[in-house]
Amino acid sequence: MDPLLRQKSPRRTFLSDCGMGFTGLALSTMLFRDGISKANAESGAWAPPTGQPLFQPKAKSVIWIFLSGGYSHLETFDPKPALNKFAGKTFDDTPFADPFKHPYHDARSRSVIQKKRDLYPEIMPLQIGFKKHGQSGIEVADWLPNIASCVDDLCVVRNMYTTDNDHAAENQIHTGRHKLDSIEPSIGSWVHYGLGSLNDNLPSFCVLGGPTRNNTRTSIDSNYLGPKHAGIPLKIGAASPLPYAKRGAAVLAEEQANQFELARELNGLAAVQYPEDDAIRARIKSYELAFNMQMAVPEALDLKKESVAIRESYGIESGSVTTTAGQRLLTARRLVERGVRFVQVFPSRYGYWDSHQKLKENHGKGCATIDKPVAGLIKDLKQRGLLDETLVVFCTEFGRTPGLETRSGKKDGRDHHPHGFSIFFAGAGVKKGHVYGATDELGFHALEPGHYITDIHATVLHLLGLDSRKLEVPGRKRLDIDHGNVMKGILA
Amino acid sequence: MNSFAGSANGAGRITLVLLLWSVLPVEVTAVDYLSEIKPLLKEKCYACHGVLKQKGGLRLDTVELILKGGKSGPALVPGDPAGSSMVVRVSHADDDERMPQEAAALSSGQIERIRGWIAAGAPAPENEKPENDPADHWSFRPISRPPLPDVDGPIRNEIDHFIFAKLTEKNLVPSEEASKPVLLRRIYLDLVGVPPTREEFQAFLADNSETAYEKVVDRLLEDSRYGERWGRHWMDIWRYSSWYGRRSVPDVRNSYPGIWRWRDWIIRSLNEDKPYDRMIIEMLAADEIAPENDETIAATGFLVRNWFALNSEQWRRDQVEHTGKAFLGLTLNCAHCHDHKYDPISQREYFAFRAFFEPIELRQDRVPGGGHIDKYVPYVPGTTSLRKPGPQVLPRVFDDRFDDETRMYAGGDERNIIQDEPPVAPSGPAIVGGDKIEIQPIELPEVAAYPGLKEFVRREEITKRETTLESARQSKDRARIAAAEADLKAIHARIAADRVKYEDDEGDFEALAKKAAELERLANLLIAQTEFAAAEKSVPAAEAEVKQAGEDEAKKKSAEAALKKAKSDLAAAQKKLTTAKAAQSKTDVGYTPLSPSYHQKSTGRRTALANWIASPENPLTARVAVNHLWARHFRQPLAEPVYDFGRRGKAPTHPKLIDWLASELIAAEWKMKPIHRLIVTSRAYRLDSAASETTRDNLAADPDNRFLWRFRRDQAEAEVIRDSILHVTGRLDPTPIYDEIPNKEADTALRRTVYFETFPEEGGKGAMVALFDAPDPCDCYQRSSTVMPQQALAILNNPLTLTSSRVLARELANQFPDEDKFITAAFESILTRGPSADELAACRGFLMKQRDLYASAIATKTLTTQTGLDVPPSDKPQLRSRETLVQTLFGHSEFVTLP
Repeated sequence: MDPLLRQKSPRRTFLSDCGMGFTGLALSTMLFRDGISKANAESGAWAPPTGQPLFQPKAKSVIWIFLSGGYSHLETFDPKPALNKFAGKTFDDTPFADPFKHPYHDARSRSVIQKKRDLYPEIMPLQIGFKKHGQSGIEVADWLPNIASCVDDLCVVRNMYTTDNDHAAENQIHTGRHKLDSIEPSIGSWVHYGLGSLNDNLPSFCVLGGPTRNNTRTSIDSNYLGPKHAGIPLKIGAASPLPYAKRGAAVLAEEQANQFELARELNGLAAVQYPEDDAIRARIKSYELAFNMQMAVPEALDLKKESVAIRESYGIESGSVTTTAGQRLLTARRLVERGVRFVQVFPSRYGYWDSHQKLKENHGKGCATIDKPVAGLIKDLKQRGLLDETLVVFCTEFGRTPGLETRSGKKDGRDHHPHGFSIFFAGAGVKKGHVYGATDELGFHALEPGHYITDIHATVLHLLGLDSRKLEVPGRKRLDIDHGNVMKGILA
Repeated sequence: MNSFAGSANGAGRITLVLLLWSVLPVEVTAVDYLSEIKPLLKEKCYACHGVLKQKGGLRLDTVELILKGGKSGPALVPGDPAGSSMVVRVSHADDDERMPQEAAALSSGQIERIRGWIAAGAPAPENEKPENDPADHWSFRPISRPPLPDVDGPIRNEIDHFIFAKLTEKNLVPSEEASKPVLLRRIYLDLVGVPPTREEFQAFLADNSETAYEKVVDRLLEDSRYGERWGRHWMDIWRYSSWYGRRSVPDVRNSYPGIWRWRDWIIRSLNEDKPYDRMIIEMLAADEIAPENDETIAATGFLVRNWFALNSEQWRRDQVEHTGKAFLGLTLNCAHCHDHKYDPISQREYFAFRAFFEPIELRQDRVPGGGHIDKYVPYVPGTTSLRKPGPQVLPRVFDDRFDDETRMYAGGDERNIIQDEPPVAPSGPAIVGGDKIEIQPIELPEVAAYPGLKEFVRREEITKRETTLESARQSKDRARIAAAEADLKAIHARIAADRVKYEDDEGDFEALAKKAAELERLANLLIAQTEFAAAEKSVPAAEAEVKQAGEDEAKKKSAEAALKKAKSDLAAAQKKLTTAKAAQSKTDVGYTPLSPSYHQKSTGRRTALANWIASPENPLTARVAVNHLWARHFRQPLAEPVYDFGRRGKAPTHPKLIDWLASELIAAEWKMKPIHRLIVTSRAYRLDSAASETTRDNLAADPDNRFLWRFRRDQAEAEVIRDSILHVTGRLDPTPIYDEIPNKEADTALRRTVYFETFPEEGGKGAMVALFDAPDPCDCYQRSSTVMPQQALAILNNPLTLTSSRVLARELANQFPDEDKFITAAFESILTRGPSADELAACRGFLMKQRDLYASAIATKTLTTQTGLDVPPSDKPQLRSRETLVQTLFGHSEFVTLP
């Protein structure tokens, strides 16, 4: 390269030397691996993230398991004997304070739909029993025997809250914002933006089983961070697992390999004319990566490469209710193993959890579909030593009401409940066999300090060695609520 | 270097020892006021203690003012952090006492820095200036036409005075003008969004006249593809979106079916060179100022696009935010929860702006071919009304909620109405003269209140009945003929009565109406009778089908379903007949109108708002507009961000140029084509985009090319890339489309990308354009550009490029059997230039390799042409190698670049 062209700021020079500018950032990150970056605070000027953690990370990758629909905290990880004791009575009949009059009640249940949501004061008893498990003695619902068997590896958080009482809360837990607020990038895109990939032949933010519906695309989208940081849905078992990743019909492998080579050659010749154009060099690199990606993605998704024993441990057996979740979670493991930073998995159907009716039946079925695969994942990660560098987050958009939903004559379900719900973490950097936080005796409000959903984001980013405040993009002011606070009480 | 501390102390950084509140001596590094303290105070404190507000009489925007203090005395005591009230207030344990009150507390590190600075005696720079008067902010000042700066060296028009004077000022050396091929490709992609054809390329090279380029510019500005290309730009800014919510259900929640009429209005308006001020007025108030013109009313799609089925409050919030951002470059939305932190816009002014939109409602008007609309379905947020896409309609706004008051609420949550605040009247931000808007209520013509008066409605209603009568006559069913005749008679009578009531026809309305009503009742009865008779017959027929089905389960099931339907049809026909019979005894004069009726008045609020926005006196509008134009021609705006011309936005790189262009736009009576022409014929626009020997030093001084010493290369927009693939192969179908094309056809339909559906949800972008930064329909005031590996796959594995390459390769191979000529023609077609010697060699080598590959594949019988695509690959090695060469050229960086 002509030395005359090196007279740029050090950072720009470095990036351009690698064939990247801001345009080519996603690609540049691969060059910044291993080790901790020097903070760019020295110059004071804004610069995009380097793709390096800002401090020693605890985790390399995240598997984010999201159960769309809103599972009941009361029938999974947060048993409340008071609900059985006062079943059929109203909150007024209990010795506890009226949860509807709690100062947080209205603030934490904002409707997108412009009408008041009905309140349900009649207490519904627990629909399933609980037992203590493991050395930690954490209580887990009897519907989840396999997850219960890993309980000593889990860190259960029982005092989460959100503020939307309807399903746009699915987007909210991923972007941090209520639907009536502005749209923000999703947590996976922030991770991708901050860290890039450890394997440039695979998309670094992969989505399995989602987005769940047209209007939940936001939960994987990158918004103003740009399309390169958006979640890439991968289709397990499809002819083309990601768009355009399969050679055209009748196109020979070598025929196309020659095309890739010619494209690289011609772009290389063009780059001579524009030696300082970062975009051209990024494009040259992109051809190499594309060629590799076309092979790497199907390989990563090929579950036949796994032993029968492993497949079975995830519940992948023909005709089994656990097969779909098992395939997605096993794929998630294969992806993080190959250096993907963030895998967002939607393992189950929405209707299982959104139990306005027949909660017992629906949750029973839902738990049966995910219990073994989730436990299989945790055990598999553990036996491979991957649990030490992978953070598993298991979550949902909200909990379900302690009260019996009676809307339109229904009598065996629970409504949406943003005021308190449970999630769990497992793996890198978090406590094991630990329960953190609580809801009140009725399982209604998250007790202080309740955690808003962006506290999950802050914690995830922290474990990855990132700080969302240092990732801000000029002109895109983020609020404190977007950054959240690290849940220090769960850190190992 | 900014450090006054350095100059004051004679050293860059000094180290001193301080006593912190703990008793331990701690060594700290001196704190620099200008780089460390002032920015912090600006971010956290100035909103309440600066030029916008002086809470407690206190300003913190200079050290002098800090020392002067407010009602409770000086805010700091030099050398005594613990005794300085600003330190006490920012570190207070009590939430109610701690500053800042409306933002997060300062971090301990930030507080430490303030303490350190005070402990060091709070050194201040000399002549520190307080914040400027906001009225003096560049974009809030009246637009004046600046004189042209003097320049040396070659220039082409007025724009160059500003650009080249600035380059001289910054010691930057401009590039030379780009070569003819680059220039031609640039202007084609910029103005019409597709490259020139080979013929156009060669004609341009052959034209040696002085004005060869200008001739092309003039031609392209009159090309209807200009409207499609620039329409897409404005669709970005105005947030065009197809309806969304849950497309797969389908469930309309946002925007509205038929919104494409607004898209077509945009494209049409640009091609007509409709003045920009007029476009604003039509988008905000066409229903008030052009109430008889449906094509113009489609412009209110700008407001319809924000419609939200679940929450009318959100609809109004979006109107405020995006009217403010798109036309005024004001972030009014930042004054939703509290007074604006940076601009002199109060929370009350936010709600006053909202009041312009308070009375609006959505309505659907009938369009030709769309069919009769029998009633107005009101919008009840949160219900299922209006949520199913139906036949084609014109979605539009109108004023309906005349009694609704605009109430202020707290914290951005409409449940928290501020009871002490009276209702807010419509008004604009006073800082830019919006408080002087005068509103005149508007009387609407009859046809706006009763669209059934439109000629096409009458014609369609008559034609529909004539067609029915014709088919009845063919059936020779006398009852049906009688019913159809009666119905035709009735519609003529109804229209005749309408003509007397609403138009100039003379006659006795009472008598005509009575007659129309009678004829209509009779027609209804006859129709009901024929329908009942038909329904009666279909029941036994369906019963027979069930019997016939016998043991065949599938047949039986469908026959039973048919029987069930026949029975319910019969019940419905029975009911209709009973009603029709009962109506016979009525004698009132009420005939059914040809459409629903609406108010014959409007508040005039939006017209007043639009006139104020679109006024030459408004300091923002013209500046914002020319900045949008500039940003797209030059791939970077003069002022950033394009939606925030307030005090938080960056100062423009060329403030005088933006003012000059704004005054030029106004002088051109807001026509945009003259501005386009000025911009693209300037020398600045024609500069080469590569750095050369003479300009390399600029890379150090202005690496980002902020001052335009060269033209900025940039990735082409997704639409340009997709459209160009079709265009260069001659496959782009220019027939107009009066609808939206589904994205699932994006890799097969041969239409311009602007005509595809686009919405901010799963499936809202075509798979290919999504990879090339297709716009986010919720927020795309400016596009981003990304390079990523999937783009290469989208070029090489896309059916669209596979088939297009084959088409073009075959056409060129026919013309140019010679290999080098073929390669040259392919380069010219796709990249608007011939190949260099090196490129030619690389392509030759490639073709040979491919041919050898195919020959051996043929030998081993592994070459196939089975694809399922409409254009399979050739089975001839030579042709097939050429097909893959053409396809590879689509993957050339220049193909996806604006040069």
